[in-house]
Amino acid sequence: MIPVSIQARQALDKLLLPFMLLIAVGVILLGQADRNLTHAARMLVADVLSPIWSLIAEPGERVAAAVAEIRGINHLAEENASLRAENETLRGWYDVAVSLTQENQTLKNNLRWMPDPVPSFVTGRVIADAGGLYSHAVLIGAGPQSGVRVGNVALAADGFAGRVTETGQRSARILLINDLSSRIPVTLEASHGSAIMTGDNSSSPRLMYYAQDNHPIEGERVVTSGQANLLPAGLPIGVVHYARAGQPVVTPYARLDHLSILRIFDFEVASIDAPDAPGRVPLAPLHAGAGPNGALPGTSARDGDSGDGTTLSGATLGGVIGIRPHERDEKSMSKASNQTDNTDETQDSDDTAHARQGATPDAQAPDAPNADPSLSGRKKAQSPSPAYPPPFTERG
Amino acid sequence: MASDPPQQRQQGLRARPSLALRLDRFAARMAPGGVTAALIALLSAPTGLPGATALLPGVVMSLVFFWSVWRPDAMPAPMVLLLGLFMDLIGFAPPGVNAFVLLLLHGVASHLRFGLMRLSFLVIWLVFAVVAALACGLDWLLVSTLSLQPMPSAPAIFETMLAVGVYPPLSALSSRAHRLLSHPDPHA
Repeated sequence: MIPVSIQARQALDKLLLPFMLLIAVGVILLGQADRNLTHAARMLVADVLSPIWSLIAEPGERVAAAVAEIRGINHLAEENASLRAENETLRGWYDVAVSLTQENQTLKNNLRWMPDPVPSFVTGRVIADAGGLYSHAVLIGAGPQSGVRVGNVALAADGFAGRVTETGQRSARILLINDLSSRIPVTLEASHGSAIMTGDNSSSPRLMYYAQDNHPIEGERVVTSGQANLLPAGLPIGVVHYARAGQPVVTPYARLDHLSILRIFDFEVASIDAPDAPGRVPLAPLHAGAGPNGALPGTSARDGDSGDGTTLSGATLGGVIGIRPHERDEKSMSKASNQTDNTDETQDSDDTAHARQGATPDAQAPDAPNADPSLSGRKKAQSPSPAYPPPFTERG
Repeated sequence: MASDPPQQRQQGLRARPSLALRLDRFAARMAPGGVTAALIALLSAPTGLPGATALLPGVVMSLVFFWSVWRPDAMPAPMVLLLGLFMDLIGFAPPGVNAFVLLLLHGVASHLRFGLMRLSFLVIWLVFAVVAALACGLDWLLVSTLSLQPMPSAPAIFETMLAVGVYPPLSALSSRAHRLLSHPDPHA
């Protein structure tokens, strides 16, 4: 102990609290600035504590099971009766399931169905509630050593529970689907709609961004959607329930507040690489007219109409791509007047390109689709869509 | 003449405390913080206790408040900081938030302690309720600010109610411990 005078000690004592507050503020700022450091510190603490938590969790579970058993003794007869009834129903369902599985197998064989990759999984015990007040997450006692990786899917016995967000040495944190920051793309099985399931800290996450002309139906099953290339499609999550009119929520199958054992699946979704999809369609294959994707539905129809396949220049395509509906009408009308004149047609689409670009009348039409990436993006979206028929098909 | 040397010894040369005594004092000094840390770890384990996550801040706040009022030596500011950081790291909250809030609570409690110690339990409880509500509100505000979205307010209200509710039993237990544990440094 360093000998200090009483006055100095009192002064130091007074400074201690402000100093500690400063440290706390520093930690807050550091935590915001360096997330990786925060993750590392959290997982270190979790790793250190996980053996202790496992020690607590196991007997706790046994005690809970014993208590449940003692409670169940009173209702043995009723439970037996209800189980018998349920068993009979389930036997019926078993037969249905077996026949459906066989039928499904036959159909898949006939269709030469590409089998889904068989996921590998590990099972871990939930050792701690890593949520806190404003988040919902659990910690399981399995880490990268057991093959758990960030992005893996956690399934409870009866449904989707969450995703692995952080891993330590011996533990991994799973963000549950009802956490405030959880967003899961889902498919609604009966209405065939898609939506985003958004956690809101309550026990039942909300459904958002569904199509306004296709509302979720009360009681229909909600499964994951493979759209974002984030999750495999078809994992059961829960059923739709309208807590209030116009506010569909999902009642999860998994009991999110009483998770004890989770299966962590590695679906390796990320290993499926999408083929290269550049932001625009290169023009060169279109000139050749042989590109499998380059041939727009409109262009082929046009070829058939006028009978001259050689007139398809980049300029014409540039005109086609960016056409707005009202321009399209004018265009088809003007087309009707001079169908046979190739040069006029090129001129016409040049005009369209100019009208679309507005501010740059000097721009060359062949460059038009390249000049504006958003337009070429539109082209990509439009070309396969039946809702936007290409203008030249209307001529016939 | 005969009574002088003992007096001198008492004033100037204090006997160096034995190892056992020093260990005992160290244990008494660390006991409140250690118990609080153990409770934080225990309440984070899946014990199946309903509302354990909402109860945890209330328990920690009650203990920090009690010891800051009755024996600040056993709940010094560095220990409060460590407890807060421990809570943040375990609960995956933005780091430092609970530490900051608990330090403010500790500051308020140790500032008011000489006034509070003369008052009856009910008044202390009332003061704690106000301070805990403010602390929960600040916690909510900080978490909302740091995550850039308003957090639901229901958990904060629930947390406050649990904190207020859990204070009397914890205070009773701690009073008992306070009487049983020897003061860490009686001569200070």
